Amino acid sequence: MKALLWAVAALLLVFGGLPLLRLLPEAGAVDAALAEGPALANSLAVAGGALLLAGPVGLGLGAALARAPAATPLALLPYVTPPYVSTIAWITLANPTTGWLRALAPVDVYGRAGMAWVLGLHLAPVVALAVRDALRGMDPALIEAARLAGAGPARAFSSVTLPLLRPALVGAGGVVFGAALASYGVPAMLGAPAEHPVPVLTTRVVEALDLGWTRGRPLATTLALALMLLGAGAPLLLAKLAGGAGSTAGARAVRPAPPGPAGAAWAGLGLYVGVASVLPLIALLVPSFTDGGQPSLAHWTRVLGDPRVLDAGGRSAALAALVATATAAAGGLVAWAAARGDTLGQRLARAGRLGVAVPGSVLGLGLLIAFSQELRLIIAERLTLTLALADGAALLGVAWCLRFLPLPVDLLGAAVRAVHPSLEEAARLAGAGAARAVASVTLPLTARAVASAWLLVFVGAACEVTLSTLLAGPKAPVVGTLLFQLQTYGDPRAASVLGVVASALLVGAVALGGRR
Amino acid sequence: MSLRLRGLRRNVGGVQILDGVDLDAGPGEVLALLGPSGSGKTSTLRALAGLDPLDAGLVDIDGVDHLRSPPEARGLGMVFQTWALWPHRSALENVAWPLRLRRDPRAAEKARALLDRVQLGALADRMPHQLSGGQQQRVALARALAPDPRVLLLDEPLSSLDAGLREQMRALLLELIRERRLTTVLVSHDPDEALGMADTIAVLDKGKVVQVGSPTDIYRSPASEAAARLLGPLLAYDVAAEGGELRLFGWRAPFAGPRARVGLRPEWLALDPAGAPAELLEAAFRGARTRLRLRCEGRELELDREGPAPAGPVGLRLGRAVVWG
Repeated sequence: MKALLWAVAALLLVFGGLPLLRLLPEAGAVDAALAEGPALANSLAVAGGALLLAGPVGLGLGAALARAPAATPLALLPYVTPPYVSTIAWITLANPTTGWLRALAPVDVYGRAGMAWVLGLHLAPVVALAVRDALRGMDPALIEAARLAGAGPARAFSSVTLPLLRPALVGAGGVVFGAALASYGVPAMLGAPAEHPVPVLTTRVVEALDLGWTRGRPLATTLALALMLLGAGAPLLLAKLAGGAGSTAGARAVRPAPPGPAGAAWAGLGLYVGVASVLPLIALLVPSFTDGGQPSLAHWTRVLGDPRVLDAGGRSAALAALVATATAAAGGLVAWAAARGDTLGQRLARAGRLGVAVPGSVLGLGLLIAFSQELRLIIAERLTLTLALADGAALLGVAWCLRFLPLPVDLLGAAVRAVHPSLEEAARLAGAGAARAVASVTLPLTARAVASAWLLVFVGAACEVTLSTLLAGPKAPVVGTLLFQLQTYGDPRAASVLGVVASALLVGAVALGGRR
Repeated sequence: MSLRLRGLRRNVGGVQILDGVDLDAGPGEVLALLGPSGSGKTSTLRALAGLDPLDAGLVDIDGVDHLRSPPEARGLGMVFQTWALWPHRSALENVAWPLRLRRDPRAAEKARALLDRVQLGALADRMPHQLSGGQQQRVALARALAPDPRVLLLDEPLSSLDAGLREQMRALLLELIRERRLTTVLVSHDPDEALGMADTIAVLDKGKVVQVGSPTDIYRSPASEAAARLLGPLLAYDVAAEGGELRLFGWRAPFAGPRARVGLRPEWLALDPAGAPAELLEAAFRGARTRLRLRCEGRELELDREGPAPAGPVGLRLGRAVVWG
């Protein structure tokens, strides 16, 4: 067990730590980077805007979910739908010249406001979940005590509930800001119009690489490092501005009695699901099922029969299955070791978080640089095999592993903690070795979580876009890259079809795998 | 400072949580609501506080009906079972906030005086999580008293404390209640808490008040076997009447029916060699006491007795009993 754990540690170091460290000496082109001020400003504006939208919406949504926890899956739909799919839908809805909403108001989804809108709606559930859990963990007597002390409902909310929610709000706000900053697919689609492009840091990293490997690399690296610093620093700054994260101490939940009227909660929930889920879904379905204004399956038969789609789909599925199996195994090992108090396991569980904390474009760039052909001679012979595959799908597979490892670690960690160690100890005393005890006791008891983790990683990887764009070479396209090309280069109906499929897969996987 | 509740009714999902509760508490009176879980005692307290809605009834506080008033308009103080100190405010600010809401310019000064009164003046600037359970409870009490409430509500005030602190806290609570002549309603399922603090006990069952009386009355003459058990150890037997009389362990009382349920407190039984003859089955050493297992009149019972097991013949004499039809 220990040897396997060290093997995981070594793999994480080589494929995760090394590429990130390799970025440092590559940084350069400071002059060019300084000229990227507008991209930086755009990135901050989009992330800030997304936060300003997701914060209040998430707060209201969280209060509604605390009242009606059963509605959580409904509220999570916009989060589970990939943001680039929502983007395709919002382009249909709010394109300034052809958008459906143009009749109601002068809307333009292209640009910073549109990016913030799509990302804010997409990320609001992050805030909502944090608020819901904080509210459910809060002793309702705290609010009741405020009422008896003489405060009306509004005063009790602003003086007691809101301050107690601060840690949750600050934490979730940091996540939202970081995720919006790191987003690539949304700004790539919505910053694209040629007449007035809106570059952000993530899109500039990818565009810099398009300048050519030698010319673009220093600029791309510098921008990536800036992105990483911002992503790490912004949550800290946010916590500082909010006066420290604080703690919700002394709260003991006895009865769930969240504040706010039920009617308003349901109305708010309905409004959010309608705007963030139902409307975009209609905007995806209608174009994909019509042709020249007539109902038609033409786009579906055309897209699903397209050899490019079949080729990319097959590759995506095979690679994602491999990645899901690898991360479920490694993640299960790490989660088990961490849950049983192993220090190395706990460190790995924390280190694995980098895969989510580091923006996808930064991770992808690091992997490209570390495992590009130029490095073949430097690294030991064993690794040249990997390098030989770097042009194909292998590097993407590695990147997906890093990206999705935290998911099984978290899911399986919770599952393993629910299996009391004495069950394994009893198996040991009954004569089973360590591995046998885990395999015959813990594994069957956590089988459901293992299956959930596998499924979630599989579908998540199969629908991934950012790393795919960077790492899937033109010779080995995957679903993410194909979908992106279709939307950007003139076949939005085909993109809608694929978007519906991707969303359906993700929603189905979460519905199946999310049940615990 | 008086309280009059009439016909409180509350139905939740078809279950009659409160089924016509009538209660009174005069100025300075401590009224304890006692009952098994689900009897409606907590619901009554929460309805009185305005935290749960009532379908019908009269909530008369100092002559004004507050049936539809929000909690903040009722002028009550409450100590919650979980204490519910606001974790983002210091002890002092917890106590001062109700006064600040009333725009009291001397809020901090008054809060400090109250914390001094509950012997926490030195810890005024601590945050709740830096205080022990007993200290948190005293802050909660000071906070409830801060705005000079018309009625003080206590929800299981001693149940979260360990045995030693309980006595101290009870003494402090009573001291404060007496010196301010505070009308107090407390909810409890702990007989010690209710018997030791209340002037009047109301026993609730299935959303109704089944008995009201002084602690002594209710302890000595409980209206039902269930009420009797709430207040302390009880022995109860089905006894058949013989010749128009109920007889048990040497006690007798005229009775018209064929049989009755007879209850007694263990301390009403005395060991008396001249009483009803009994057989000593077992004597278990318990330090200062001895637990005796006896058989008398064909009934087995357990009895604690000071000192060692009796030598020689054993008999039982019952001085008092309660009869339920």
